[in-house]
Amino acid sequence: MLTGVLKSAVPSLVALALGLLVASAVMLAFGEDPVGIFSALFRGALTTQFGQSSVLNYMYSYILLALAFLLPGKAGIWNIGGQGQAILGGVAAALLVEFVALPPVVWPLAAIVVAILTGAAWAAICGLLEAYRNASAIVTTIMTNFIAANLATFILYYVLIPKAHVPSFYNEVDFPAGATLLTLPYFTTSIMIIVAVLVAVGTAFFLSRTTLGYKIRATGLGSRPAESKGINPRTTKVIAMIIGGGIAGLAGAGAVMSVGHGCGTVACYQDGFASGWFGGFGFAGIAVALVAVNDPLASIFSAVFFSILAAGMPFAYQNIYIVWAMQGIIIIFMAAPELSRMILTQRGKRKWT
Amino acid sequence: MNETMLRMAGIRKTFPGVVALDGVDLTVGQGEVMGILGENGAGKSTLMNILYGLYTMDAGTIEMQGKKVHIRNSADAIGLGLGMVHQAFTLVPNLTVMENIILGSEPSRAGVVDRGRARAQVLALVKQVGLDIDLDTMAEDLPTGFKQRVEILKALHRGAKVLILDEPTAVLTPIEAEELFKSVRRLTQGGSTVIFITHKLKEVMAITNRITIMRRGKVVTTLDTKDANFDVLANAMVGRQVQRKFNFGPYKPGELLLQVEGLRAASKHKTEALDGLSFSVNAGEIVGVAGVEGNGQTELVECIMGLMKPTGGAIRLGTKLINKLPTSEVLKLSVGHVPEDRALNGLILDFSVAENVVLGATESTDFSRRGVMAPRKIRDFARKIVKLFNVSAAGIDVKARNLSGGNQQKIIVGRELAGQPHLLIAHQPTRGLDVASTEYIQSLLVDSRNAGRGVLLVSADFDEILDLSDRILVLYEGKIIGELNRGAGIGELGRLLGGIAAK
Amino acid sequence: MDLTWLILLAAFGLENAVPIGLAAQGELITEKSGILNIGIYGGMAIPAFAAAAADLAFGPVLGGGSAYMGLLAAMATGAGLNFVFAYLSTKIHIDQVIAGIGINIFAVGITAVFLQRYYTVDGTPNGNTVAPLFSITGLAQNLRISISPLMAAMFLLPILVYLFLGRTKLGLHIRAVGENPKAAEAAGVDVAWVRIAATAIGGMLLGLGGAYLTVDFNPNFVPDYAQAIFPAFIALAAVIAGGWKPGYVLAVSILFGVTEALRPVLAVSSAQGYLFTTLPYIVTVIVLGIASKRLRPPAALALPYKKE
Repeated sequence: MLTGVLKSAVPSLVALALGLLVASAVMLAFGEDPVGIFSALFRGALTTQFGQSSVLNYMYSYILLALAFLLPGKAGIWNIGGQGQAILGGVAAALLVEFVALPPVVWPLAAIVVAILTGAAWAAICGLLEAYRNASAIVTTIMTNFIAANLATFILYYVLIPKAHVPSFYNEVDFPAGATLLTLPYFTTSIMIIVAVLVAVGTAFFLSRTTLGYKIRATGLGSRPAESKGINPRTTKVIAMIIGGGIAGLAGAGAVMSVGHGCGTVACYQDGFASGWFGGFGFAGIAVALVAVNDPLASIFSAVFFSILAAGMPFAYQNIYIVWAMQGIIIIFMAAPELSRMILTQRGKRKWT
Repeated sequence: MNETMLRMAGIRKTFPGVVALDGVDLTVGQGEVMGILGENGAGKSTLMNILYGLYTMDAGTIEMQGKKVHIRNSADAIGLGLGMVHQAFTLVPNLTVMENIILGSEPSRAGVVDRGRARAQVLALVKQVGLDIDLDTMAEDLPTGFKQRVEILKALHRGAKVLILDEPTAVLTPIEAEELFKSVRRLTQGGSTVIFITHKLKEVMAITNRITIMRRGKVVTTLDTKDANFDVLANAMVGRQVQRKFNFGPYKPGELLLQVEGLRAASKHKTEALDGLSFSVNAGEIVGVAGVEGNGQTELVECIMGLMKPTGGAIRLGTKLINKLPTSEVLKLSVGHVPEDRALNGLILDFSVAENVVLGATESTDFSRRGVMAPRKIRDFARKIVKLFNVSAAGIDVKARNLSGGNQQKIIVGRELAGQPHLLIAHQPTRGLDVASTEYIQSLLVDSRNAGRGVLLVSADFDEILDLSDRILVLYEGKIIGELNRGAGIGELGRLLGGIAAK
Repeated sequence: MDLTWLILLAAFGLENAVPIGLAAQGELITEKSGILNIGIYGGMAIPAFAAAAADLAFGPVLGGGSAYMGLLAAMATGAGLNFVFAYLSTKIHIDQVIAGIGINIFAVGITAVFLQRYYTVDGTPNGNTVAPLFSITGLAQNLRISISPLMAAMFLLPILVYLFLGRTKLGLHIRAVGENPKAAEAAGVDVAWVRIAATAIGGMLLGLGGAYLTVDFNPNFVPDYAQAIFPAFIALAAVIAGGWKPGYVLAVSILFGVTEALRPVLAVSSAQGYLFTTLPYIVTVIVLGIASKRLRPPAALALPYKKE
């Protein structure tokens, strides 16, 4: 059993190693010392309080956005739109907080619910287009990402900032105290990491143990036998997309509602989402899910790795860009298990000739 | 016979567990139309695929014009002047007729297609064969008969001297078939040789010079068409093996379970896949729907199961009209369905045995409560199925992909029978299975019938149909062209299958 | 009536359209062969960087001509990158979509890293630019409107692409493998290599589109800004909205370029400008939703093909 798990992790580990190798090569090419850089990175991320908090802060988004990608994937639909669903979820939460005052506890909860619903509705558009109009979600989710990013920025500048409780130089919108999420003791980050881990566990349970999860997996692995036994593949795909979008929306809510670690402002989602469309969390989430071979629980561990890299880079005085380049390489290797195997075995060598 | 064009001798081909061809000899003379007649699985297509280089033979020799040849792939075959027109057309829909004909053998200058030369070449061929076709039409806009013309021209453009036509009239209207025959005659007058594969008796009598009849991977006989008649051909085509003995109870048909009236349906290939067919199935009987594949079987089953919408007519389960019901609702009306192609439609190959046995049944209170599945109950059920239906699997957590075809089919049949359905629809239930599994599955169908279920058996295996059916309906081009009772002669079935309606 | 704004709109719109139009024709050729190149951003950004680097490197030797070396470098890099991508997806059976996403993320990171190391912190190289074919001054507000050779190429390309796909042997094979690879294989066409060729040729044009932004239009390549200025996904959208027809794709590219120009020309606030930016994407999603049955994408688009 354990050896089985280890065996299935081999392609992931190879991809991670190759990613690190390419990044090291780039560093070497610039005459820098990759060993020194990586050790500073890991030391900073893992041994300082700031680093640890930063790791957790990246981690919840990575986990949730990995789930947003892999759950619809189980039904055979590509959700590359986690980015956009999260952005709009975050904006919807901010709008609720800024425009509707509610009692404490209810207030943040309501904001979260609104964020989830918004993400789900946004994802549903692409799900419906694929299921009933034959328009591939690969394309529509990419398109709607850009729509969401620009729409969100418009709302930020045109609606939220003018209405902000605390005006600020940095185009930020501070959240009123009663509408933010609880902060973890010791760490300077919110409880979102706990929420994310729970959602990952819940997703694993949902997929393996509920009838709806079963139908989603059946649709993805064999839509024809599923259909011949009365499972409607179109409806199932749309439902999977809605759930995925909801999870992404939750990530967006977390990004704008977390106090501490420089957050609790709408500008946070800009750092995490709106800017850096590809380096953004949505795409990192895809990398996390791929390395986890689309397993919800393994996503937690894969998210740890990517979070450490992202959180540790400042400690090594490195720019986050090198992490993106690494993510790209890792994704490419994860896309082709055969590629990793080829590098590992003799059998592959013959193939090249 | 004229000078020998092609000689295949001692051709043998085995697939895992099956001998597809067992020492087949075939001689084709220059300029003649050679008919190869046989039912599904007789080995006609396997033989032609070997000739065309798509399969490699295990033993045997091929000679062309007296010289021994080695055909390793279709490029070799094309080089030797062989051309094949498959049953499923291989046209590119968004290219014009001319582009399709020249694709892969374009006359060109510096990478630019020489359209003038191409057109001249193709027009010459068109004239030679006497086919009438507009070269600038998109292939997708062509009627089926014209698509076939393009396929023939494509083969000729590559210099085919021997043209293999695989069930060429299966997708044609009678008028189109007549046109095809005319072209075939012109082709042979021009010196080409044609191998005509079919199961239709009328056609083989109408167009060929000589006929080779195949059955179960062997040549039964070869004779001149002028010496043949329907009875000789039908008997040779549908010879019987030793009849299997099943434990049939007395035939006492009970209540009406399924009634189909004037059913019509459209398909992708033909406008009319089902052409107003009517029949009924009662409790306690096996009704066999016999027919060579592609005569409407798939559409018939899909219409009943709600997987396809009929364009006319009525389907009733008991008294309930089910034309417009979705599959999930049809299944609730006590219907079991063993779909054709178990790997494609029956099982989710990457699901475990346990997951597969509850496919479509997860909402049942036996297996879940409030949307949460009950793994223990599911596993108990899976173990029960495995035991009850003699599935040999290394446990219920094995993926369906890793089971043999026989065991996969046992799981499907077990799953469907476990629901105690009143009506069981079995579509090609034993295709590709070994002898033991075949007999086991067939005995389950007989047991179901004895237990008072109605069984609709749709099969292209005529032994199976003859062995099991209380009544036999013969499906031909979307219509039921004849009904036979148990004990009917094979000759009569053979004639009906070949499209010759009862006298 | 003052038509200044119309002239401005046309001038800015056409400038915006050049990279979109060039890249879209490249993506069109690739997609016609059945490969959906989601890695289109990487296919523009990495060559754009290569163009800037070659421009700078050859500057001391060639003077003003170095910009043209930049164009060559971009086309070579684009073709090379796409060759690798297509080789991986057709021969090693790597998933096209995942590989495309990977290439994009890699491109974002690697171009930024290189730029920061190579140039200043702002990453602004000061190379030569491609000389305009001709310039018009004084049409509006003393504006000097330059017509770049690349803009001319944008107008010329659809005709060439049309002839290439319609009249050449390779073009015929590309259309065949994108529609029915099995039939093409049966006719003796090597599906994998035709797809690789189509993707590499497409890569040349993606590279050219990227280079326009570094050695012609606006010779800046700022890491953070880079993603915003590369209209890669607008080009992807233009291919779809143009229904995979070269002429329509050009028309849509220009339309999208003009949309982008609305914001500066109408002098709307930057906040409202973000709404204009969404227009090409909204148009494309609507086109997909409404006309998906009438659009004729290559039937085998994004479907991997494995020989039996």
